[in-house]
Amino acid sequence: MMEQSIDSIIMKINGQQVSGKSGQTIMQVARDNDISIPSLCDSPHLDAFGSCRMCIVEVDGMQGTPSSCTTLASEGMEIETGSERLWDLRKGITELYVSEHPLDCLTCTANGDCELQDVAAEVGLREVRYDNTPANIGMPIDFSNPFFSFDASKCIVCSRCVRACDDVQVTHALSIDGRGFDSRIIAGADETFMESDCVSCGACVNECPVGALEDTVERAAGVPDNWVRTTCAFCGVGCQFDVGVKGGKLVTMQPAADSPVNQGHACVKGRFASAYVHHEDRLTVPLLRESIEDEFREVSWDEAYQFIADGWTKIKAESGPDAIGAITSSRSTNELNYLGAKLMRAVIGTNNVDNCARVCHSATVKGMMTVFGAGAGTNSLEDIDVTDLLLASGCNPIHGHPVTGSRIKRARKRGMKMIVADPKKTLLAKMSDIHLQLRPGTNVALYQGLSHIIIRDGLEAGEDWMNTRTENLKPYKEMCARMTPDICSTLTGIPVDTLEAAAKMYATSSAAMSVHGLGMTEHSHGSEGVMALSSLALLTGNVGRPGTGINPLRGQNNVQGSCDMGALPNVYTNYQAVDNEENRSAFSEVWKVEAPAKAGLTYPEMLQTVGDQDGVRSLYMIGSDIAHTDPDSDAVKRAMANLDLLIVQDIFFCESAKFAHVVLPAASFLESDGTYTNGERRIQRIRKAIDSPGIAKEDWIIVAELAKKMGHDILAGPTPSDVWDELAGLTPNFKGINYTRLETPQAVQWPSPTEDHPGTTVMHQEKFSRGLGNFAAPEFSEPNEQASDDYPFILVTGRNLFHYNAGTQTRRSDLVKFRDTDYLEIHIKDARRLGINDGDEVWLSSPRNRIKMAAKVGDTVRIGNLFTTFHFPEVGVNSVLSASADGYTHCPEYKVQAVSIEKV
Amino acid sequence: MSLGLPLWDPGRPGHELLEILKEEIRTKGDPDAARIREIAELTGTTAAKVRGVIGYYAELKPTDATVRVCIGESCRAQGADSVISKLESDGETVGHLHCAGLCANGPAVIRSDEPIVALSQAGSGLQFHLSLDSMSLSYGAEDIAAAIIENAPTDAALIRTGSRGLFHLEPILEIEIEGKRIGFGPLVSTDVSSVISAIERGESDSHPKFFGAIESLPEFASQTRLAMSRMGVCDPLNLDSMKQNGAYVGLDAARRGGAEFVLSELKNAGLRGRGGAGFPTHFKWSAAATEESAVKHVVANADEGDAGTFIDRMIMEGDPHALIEGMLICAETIGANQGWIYLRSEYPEAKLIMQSAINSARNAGYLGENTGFDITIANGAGSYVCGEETALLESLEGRRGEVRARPPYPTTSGLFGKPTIVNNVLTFALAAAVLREGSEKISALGTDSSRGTVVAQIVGNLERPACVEVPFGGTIGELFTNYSSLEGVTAMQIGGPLGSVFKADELNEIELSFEGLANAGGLLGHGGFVAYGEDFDAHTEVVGWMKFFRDESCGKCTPCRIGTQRALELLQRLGSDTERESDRSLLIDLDDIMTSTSLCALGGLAMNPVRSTIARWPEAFGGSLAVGDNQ
Repeated sequence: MMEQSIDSIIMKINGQQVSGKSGQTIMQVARDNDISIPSLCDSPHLDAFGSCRMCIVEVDGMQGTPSSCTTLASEGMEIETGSERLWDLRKGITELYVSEHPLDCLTCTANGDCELQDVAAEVGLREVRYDNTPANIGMPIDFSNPFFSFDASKCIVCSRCVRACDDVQVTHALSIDGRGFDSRIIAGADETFMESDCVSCGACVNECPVGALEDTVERAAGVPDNWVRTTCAFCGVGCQFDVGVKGGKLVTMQPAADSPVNQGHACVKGRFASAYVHHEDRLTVPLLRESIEDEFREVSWDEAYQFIADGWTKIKAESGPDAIGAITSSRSTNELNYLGAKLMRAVIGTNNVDNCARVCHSATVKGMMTVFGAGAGTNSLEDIDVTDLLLASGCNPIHGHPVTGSRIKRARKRGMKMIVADPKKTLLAKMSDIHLQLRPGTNVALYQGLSHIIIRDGLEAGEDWMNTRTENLKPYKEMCARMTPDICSTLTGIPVDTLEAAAKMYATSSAAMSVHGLGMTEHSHGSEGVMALSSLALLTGNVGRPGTGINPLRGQNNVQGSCDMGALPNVYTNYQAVDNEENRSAFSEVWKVEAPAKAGLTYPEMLQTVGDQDGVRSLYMIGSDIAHTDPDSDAVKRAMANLDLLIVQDIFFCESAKFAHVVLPAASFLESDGTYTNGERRIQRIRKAIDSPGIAKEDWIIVAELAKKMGHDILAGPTPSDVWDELAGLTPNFKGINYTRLETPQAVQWPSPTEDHPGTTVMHQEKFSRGLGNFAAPEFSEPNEQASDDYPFILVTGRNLFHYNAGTQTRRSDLVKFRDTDYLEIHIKDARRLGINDGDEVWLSSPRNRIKMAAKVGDTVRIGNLFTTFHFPEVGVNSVLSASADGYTHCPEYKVQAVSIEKV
Repeated sequence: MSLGLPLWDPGRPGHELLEILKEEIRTKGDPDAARIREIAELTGTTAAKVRGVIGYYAELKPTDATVRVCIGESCRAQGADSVISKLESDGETVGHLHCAGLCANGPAVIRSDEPIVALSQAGSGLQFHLSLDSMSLSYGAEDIAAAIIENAPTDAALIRTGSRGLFHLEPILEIEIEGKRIGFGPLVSTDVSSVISAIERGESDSHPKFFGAIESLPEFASQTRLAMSRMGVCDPLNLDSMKQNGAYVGLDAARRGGAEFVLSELKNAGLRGRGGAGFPTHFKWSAAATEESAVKHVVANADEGDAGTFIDRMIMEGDPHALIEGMLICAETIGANQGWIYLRSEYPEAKLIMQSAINSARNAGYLGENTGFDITIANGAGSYVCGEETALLESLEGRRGEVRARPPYPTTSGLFGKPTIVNNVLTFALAAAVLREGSEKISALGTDSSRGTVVAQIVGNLERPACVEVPFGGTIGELFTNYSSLEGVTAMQIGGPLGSVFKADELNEIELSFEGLANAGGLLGHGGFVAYGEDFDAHTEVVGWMKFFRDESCGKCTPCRIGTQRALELLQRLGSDTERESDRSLLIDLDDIMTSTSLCALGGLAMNPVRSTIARWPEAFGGSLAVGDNQ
């Protein structure tokens, strides 16, 4: 583990007394003290390299001119950074650089943003006495990547791109070919960037000091005229970006170096793919039709609101408030989710509100709530930097959460141990110490089997921990005792030796941290799986300390927040139960209405009741596209088509809009104010950077205006900050948090009950949210979906790096140049047996539907398994899936589906 | 884990990648992108890293050369250019290499990378001793060996030894009679039968090639052979014989005394690294000893790239146990568990013998996993910079041989980030000698700050090339008087290609020591002395050096990457009609920039031979560079 002494040291730079920290280089101390030393190869995001030799200094008592980036600062040093001699040498080095660089500064895309230009000006270079012969002149510019270009002739071989790819992104897609004067940066096996392993994260582009690696959009647009800090709206990592805007258009998204979340890093989606906000498909005006047989017509907001208000008033009068429901969005803000829930509860009078987290991490909330008393991630991303071992279960962060994936890879490089539980041999699994390639749907067996070995070998936490922090150990031990290694191995398909090794490695690590994804939750026994995983952590004392805990990797940007906001049928904000009278009266008092007491329906339940006598007749869907994303999608579509009033609020005309009566044009995240909460409970601001197209409006404003049309003012004030203050006042864990506190780069991680409470990086330190940690001992059951003679394969669904969930946004960007369809992955042995070759079209069938897909033959899936994504609605993967779901939470069993496959 | 590799780092696939690529390219040519991806998968790295490595190393290029000729300094001084012309006119495709370590007998012409396996024969009768050193082989030792096997009595033994270093007598045949060895040389194969019959007749001293006991020759008797004590005496592959002659005696002393004792012995002996920098060895070992780490490495730098030097090769071929012993002493002193010999690929015989010695040391329980320390040989792939210790470590990690900025020093964070000692082969052999002989004896030799012995490799355009071990001190002129001659010598480069060039008459004033050379504006380096004859062409040589540096620059730091190219352009113009007005001042400025700001010694010293040559032979460059420049 990196140990940096924080002893303060005092030295003099140019006669000025400055202080630094022991272990810092002269360059770092100078930078911290705002003393500029010229440099071309140094970067605050990268380790010292010492290649450009521009940052030379003179140090009393040291010979020559050491480079400040590689020389450690020490107490009492006297350093000169600007003597005539140093400037002479720097000028000489710059003269060498310029002799090897094209002299086309005025038309160069980096003009005005070029560190070589800056240095030449600083040293006062006025003539170059060498011949100007750039080593790589005439090399064709690589325009293969849609987001950036590479011009080798302008490259100064500082290796910052290579180092960023190696040490920040950790993809190792770049290197140098040749050596000496002939050195040239290459991607992959000296291919184009698109042919190489490059994942287009943009780290190299950001590091390039000259015009060699250039952002394509910036290249065309020039320098932005405005910068706005905001939070990325793709996955739940919550990366911070500075949005560069010019003439009202998005020019660039620059990852924020001062954010503890992404630390200056980004992924291809966050960095380059938000251009979808300017896509021609954006909805710009409200659309309305009386019947879904009719054509839509463009209407005013007022007409749309009136139509909805009339519809709801009628339905409520005829069938009561519970005939109306809302699905809010894990993609929209906390404020929207709170107001959406308030609209249903305070205006309509129903608890029929749910959000799309239902189909991803609801089982996490249930499982962790049972064991720890809180459904949120226990620790923080920074814990990855210090943990001794990472247990990654059912997740593929290199694709799904790329910035966290890179953080994990960096930790691997420092020597962190890693166990990966995944039916698929993912890239993460390939780089692990132990890969537990379990049969899909056997999570409970796996984690209880590991606990069995740990208990058998006496490797569990000490008695003190068990006595003071936990309860129900005995029934847990009894349950685990039945899951012997042999039985566990038979159920999971993992060899006994591997189970033994994993159990020992996990239990004997000084700190073991768990991250998990939807491979844990999207099962018929997803909640039980999370309980088993959480209990394993509890058994070994791996919770409540830095570098430990159970940490769900949240899929969408605000999965955490949409649930925290009480956009769920049974709870108010921060999981305060609606059937608790105290809670209900508190909310009723502030809302000035009598809030409904009866818990509402989950949205799969709402859909099931459509057409029933007292079923749901109207749905208000905000930023979710269940017609595309939900399993058994034909059944979902049938239910939607049966609604008396379907309102779809989105930024695009999505699949679900095809069944709507009213389509409301919403603002994108770049056009909105509010907050998102990332997977580590960090509440971060989003800020409006550009105007919405047409008359589209921010989600929360639409909800509030709709409420007003229904005769209720649900806004405590005119801004999202006012909305936040109202909900924080009703929520003990948020009480100390306000927008002013969110202005710092680290923002605030809840719980923060008072304004002077700094927020919480590690939960459950002294006691668990529920008091004692509760060993949960669910009994293993087979998944609902079982392979049969007719449907002999088990299909697992997941995500790909270049797309995001429904693909609504990513399909409307140049990301389709990286991947333009869903593939069906099959093991080579199965493929051979069925005569399927790579790229062949195949039928994927279930009792519900059959669809055509292209097969991808390899060895990453288990024999007997298939894998695919569902980013492309035209492929229709979800029409094949069944509605089978978790018994507790109705989270669908996306990860285990019995299917058959045959060559077309 | 056994090799101390990190758990996971595609950027550091390990040295195996270089071996796989060498074999791949030798048998199948330059791999395409698909094949590169397969190799990347196999070695746990990525296509870019594989391609980068291929692009870096000279030997990872397909070649259609039918023969390779050494263009190192010593071979150039002996007429490599005309040999190349001759071969090319004979229709050969000539490849170049930069030093095969056969400097005494240049120009070296290499037809095969396969090691020559020296002939030997067991027997209880007459004991024939013949060197298996590559240099001896180049002088025709195998012809002598074949003639012995053909002519000697069937009970005669042919014992292969290292070389005595007196190359003007090579090939030398020593025959043991009544416990004493008498020597003959230089021999040709047809001499062998007459030598045998002379011995049989008891008239050996009448043979024209007879020179008696080698120890009686003044040029041998006057040496102080510490590192070379067993060289030429016994069979490098016979561990018992080596032990009877003092091998592993130093290790026993080290084990008796412990780490503190070893460090104090090295300090008292004043042992300094022989790779060129002359850094006190005990400082380095102490620094690594105090690091806390479960894994530590000991690396022998056997990438002896300075043309004109070959003592590391001679040790590995003639006394490999001296290297193993030195590395073992180091390992036990610092607590290391993994040893590496980074051996340049131009030394196939050294690799063969070294590996065989490692195997016998394993069998004897000195090395091996159960002893806590083992040694792996890793071959270089054609890069001069990989002789620099941090570039060497990069290469051992399966990376491009780019120099690392220091700190961190290898003693803190070396191979795969673990504490690592990198020492030259000769330094390890001398460390073993210090422990064997005791520091008192060693510190009594030499000058105040250059203690002990220097191994002088005296080659080039000379009648009497030699490799001798003598105490530091005296002048270089005296060295040549004692062991060779300065007659006909015009210029002499000391300390490898980066070393300064002197006129012969200056050498009587320069002390043979680290400081003596430094004071004269030069460097001792690895102890190579390359003499040029009257045909010394200052301008051609200077351009040749700079071309070498340009080709060998790793390209990491700017002053060297661009500077060597620009310097080459300037030097090519200098003194010709293409010279420009600003060229001289520009060259002076460039010298300052490269010398003051380069990351490693390649760029930092590249102007050394240039500056010193122009100052001494200004007429070859249209005059001197500037007034007052007399280095």
